[in-house]
Amino acid sequence: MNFTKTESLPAADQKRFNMIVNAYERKLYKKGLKWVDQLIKKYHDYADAISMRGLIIHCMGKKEEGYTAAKGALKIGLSSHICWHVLGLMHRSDKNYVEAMKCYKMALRLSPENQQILRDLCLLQTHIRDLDGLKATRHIILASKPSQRVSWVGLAIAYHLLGKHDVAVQTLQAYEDNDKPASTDVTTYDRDGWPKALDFEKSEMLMYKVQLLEEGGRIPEAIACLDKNKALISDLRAWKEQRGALLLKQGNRAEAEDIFRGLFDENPNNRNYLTTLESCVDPAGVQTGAPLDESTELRRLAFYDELAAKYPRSNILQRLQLNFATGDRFQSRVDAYLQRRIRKGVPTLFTDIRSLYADPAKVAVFDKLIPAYVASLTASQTFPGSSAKETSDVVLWAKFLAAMHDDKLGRTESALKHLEDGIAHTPTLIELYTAKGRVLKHAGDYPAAALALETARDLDTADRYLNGKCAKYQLRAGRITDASATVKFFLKENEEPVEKLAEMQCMWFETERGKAFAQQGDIGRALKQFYLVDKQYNDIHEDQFDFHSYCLRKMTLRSYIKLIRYEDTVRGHKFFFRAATEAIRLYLALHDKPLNAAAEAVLGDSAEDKERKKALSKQRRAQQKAQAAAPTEKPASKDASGKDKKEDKDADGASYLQSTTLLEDVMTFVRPLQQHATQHIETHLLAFEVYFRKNKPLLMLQSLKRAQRIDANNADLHKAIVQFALRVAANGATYQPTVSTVINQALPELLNKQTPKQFVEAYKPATLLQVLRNAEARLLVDPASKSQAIKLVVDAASKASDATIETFSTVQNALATTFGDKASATVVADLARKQYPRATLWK
Amino acid sequence: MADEHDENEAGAAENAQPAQAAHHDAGKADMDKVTDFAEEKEMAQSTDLNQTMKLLTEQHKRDVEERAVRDRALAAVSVKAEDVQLIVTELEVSTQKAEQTLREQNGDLAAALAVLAN
Repeated sequence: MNFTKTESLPAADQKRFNMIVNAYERKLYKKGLKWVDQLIKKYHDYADAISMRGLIIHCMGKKEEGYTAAKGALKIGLSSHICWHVLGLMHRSDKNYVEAMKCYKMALRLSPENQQILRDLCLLQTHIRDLDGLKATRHIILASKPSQRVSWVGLAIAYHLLGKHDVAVQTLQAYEDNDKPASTDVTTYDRDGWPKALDFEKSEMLMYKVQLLEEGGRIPEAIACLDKNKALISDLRAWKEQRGALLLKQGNRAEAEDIFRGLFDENPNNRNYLTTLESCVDPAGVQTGAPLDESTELRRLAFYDELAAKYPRSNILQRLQLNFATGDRFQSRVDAYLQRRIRKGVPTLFTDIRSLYADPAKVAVFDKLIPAYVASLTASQTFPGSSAKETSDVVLWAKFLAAMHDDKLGRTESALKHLEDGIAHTPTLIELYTAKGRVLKHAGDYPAAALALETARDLDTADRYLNGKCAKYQLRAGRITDASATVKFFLKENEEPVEKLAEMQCMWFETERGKAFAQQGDIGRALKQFYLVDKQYNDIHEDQFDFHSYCLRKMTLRSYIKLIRYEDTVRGHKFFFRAATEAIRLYLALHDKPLNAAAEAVLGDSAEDKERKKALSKQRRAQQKAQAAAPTEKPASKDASGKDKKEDKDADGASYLQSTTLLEDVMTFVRPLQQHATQHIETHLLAFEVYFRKNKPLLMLQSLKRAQRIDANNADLHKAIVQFALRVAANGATYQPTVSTVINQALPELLNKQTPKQFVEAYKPATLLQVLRNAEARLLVDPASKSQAIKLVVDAASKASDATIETFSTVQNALATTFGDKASATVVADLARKQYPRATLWK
Repeated sequence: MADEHDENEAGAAENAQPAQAAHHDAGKADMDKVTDFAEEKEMAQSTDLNQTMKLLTEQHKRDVEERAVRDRALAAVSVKAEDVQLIVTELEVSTQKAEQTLREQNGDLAAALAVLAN
């Protein structure tokens, strides 16, 4: 029998088909599969059943088979909306959104009012942010099912995302006016003590409406809505916070102040309440950045003191004052703050006050107070100027604080001495060893730092934080296999560290591992790690899909909007930034010096080439080692769920290295940064480097302009501008005329209306890195000025008292390679060694 | 009914092992069971609702028309295919965006380039 359309089946079989669909929706795949197989046995060419079968086996994991079945079914039943719908669902779950959209639209054409298809189409449109399409689909749904709440709410969300707040409010209002709840009596309570009329979903919808009104700028109406519906709101804290914020926005500071005083009373450690309360009371005093004049400072301190008297145990009241207090007032307050916490033995004290070290005046105060504590406590077990005896462990915490203080100011030996004293006093205090590791890390001695962390870890093997930190330090020291072994302590028998931590989305591990491989020259493995991080972000972005339907059903609309907005810029997060910038640098290095046999053949005998050859052979050795290790690894096995374990065919990342489109591959990392991390100058500088090699003058211009807007004096930007100007001068004739016009219009702005030569002369470098980049730029402009440029760099290096290890290393490498002057490179290395005697880089 | 029982047993056996799995996996099995299937609440229709719906649908129609008018205006601008191609190559944007920008700048290539290279 040949039936292609469900509608033409006998009733019993039709019912059975609906049950199959039901089973799919409820994820009862085995049952569904059994029934659909029975149905297909009865009707061989039943297109709908074949496609459903494909869908079910696709969901069970057999994707290839699923697609074959569905496409086969489509051939039989080209006009069956079910077949198209099924194919759309499969594409969607495999993230082929364009294909899925096409399938849904076909299905919709065949069955225009099908609620299922419309709903799935909405989810897809929300997911890919096709907001206009979403609005249109929501209108269709509303027209066909005006009695369902979700139709109205869905439409409101669509308008909200489009920025049309007023229409969204109108939509919600229509539903609200029509919704007759079972009871409005708020005086009878249920068993848990909530009023019976309180309905969480209604409460959330009302709070969402208030949010819409606020975002639409209709503040008085928002306040009125809050007031009218207080009895129906279950999230009272949010109600209060929202009302206070709205009143403040409206300018009604007195009422807002009352509310925030009340909220602060409920939670005297909430920073948000405190700062908002202060802006209610004293809006002029609350500024950021610029130092305050004395009267404002006194006024603010009085405000804080008044509250502190009322809430003596509030940490934040005491801490925030330190941010703007100055002079003796600062000293007396920070003295009390520190003494109290040293006495208590708060390990995170330094982390707490660290942000104050940005102010040199405050650093001087710390440098006065902290050594005094140590001296006084060591000598007489009392704090300076007091005769009360402290307990014997207080001196330990004072030394601990002194060590971190010295480390911050670069006094490595002094810091280590304090920590050694501490360890002699109490060898079992773990914080001493982690601090020692940190100090050694700052001093550039990564192997010793890792050893310190291992000692710390051994003192408490059940502490997962220590375990992770130990692994990180081992990675920094280049001990990659040791780090994996360390992490394995917290995994199960059969779990592999790299795989399991990727599953747990542990990005620091992947990034640090990538950096460690890069340091060893194993670019393939390094890139692989950074791609893993990219994958995590992909997964995080994809995770939002289920919430499009779930949140609308559960009415958690405020959280839903928050989620949407978060997911829109998820790759702006600093973890992605870190991994992406590293990956881009690797790609640039790979492009400049390709690691392959052909390149090696071209290399000559110069010292630099010898280094290249060494790196290449190292790479090859690493590859061989990996291949040798491969046979001893576990054979492809089935894991717990019965799915085939994927063999990692590209363990050493060779496929990344062998790619012929490196500058296109790198765009995977560049584009998200350009979209979501535009506030970091590094984004634009790295983008420039990529476009420089791709030879795209307009994109180079774009990156430079954006970078200049952030920090015109940046060292790398300075050099990049000169590179750009010289490139334009050299290649300008080959550009399309309009392109040339645009560039020539914009170039003077970049060069401060000077010629490249004047530009490099006029630059006033303040840091060592700026001197270096300026020197490199001078070399580009006038190769004959090399020796002068080198002299500038070496002079600056000898005077640089606060250059970091990284800067010295960069300078050393630049002198050796760009300037080709090994002697000066050695001079700089000696200077660096003098400043950082413990750094392994120069030992 | 018998086959349901069998399936439940098989499911239980499968679940026993993961149940002893690491704590951080505890919610995974439950999460996998969450489905999209739900019964939707219905409410009574009324004339007010219908009225608002009419308003909204009309608003929507007006939006669509406005958009169409704008698109027609933009489409009326003449743009050269080679200009679009240049923008796509030099600024690495999609053909759609290149064309859109060019139309918005009245076909002025230099203006379009300046806008996109900002």
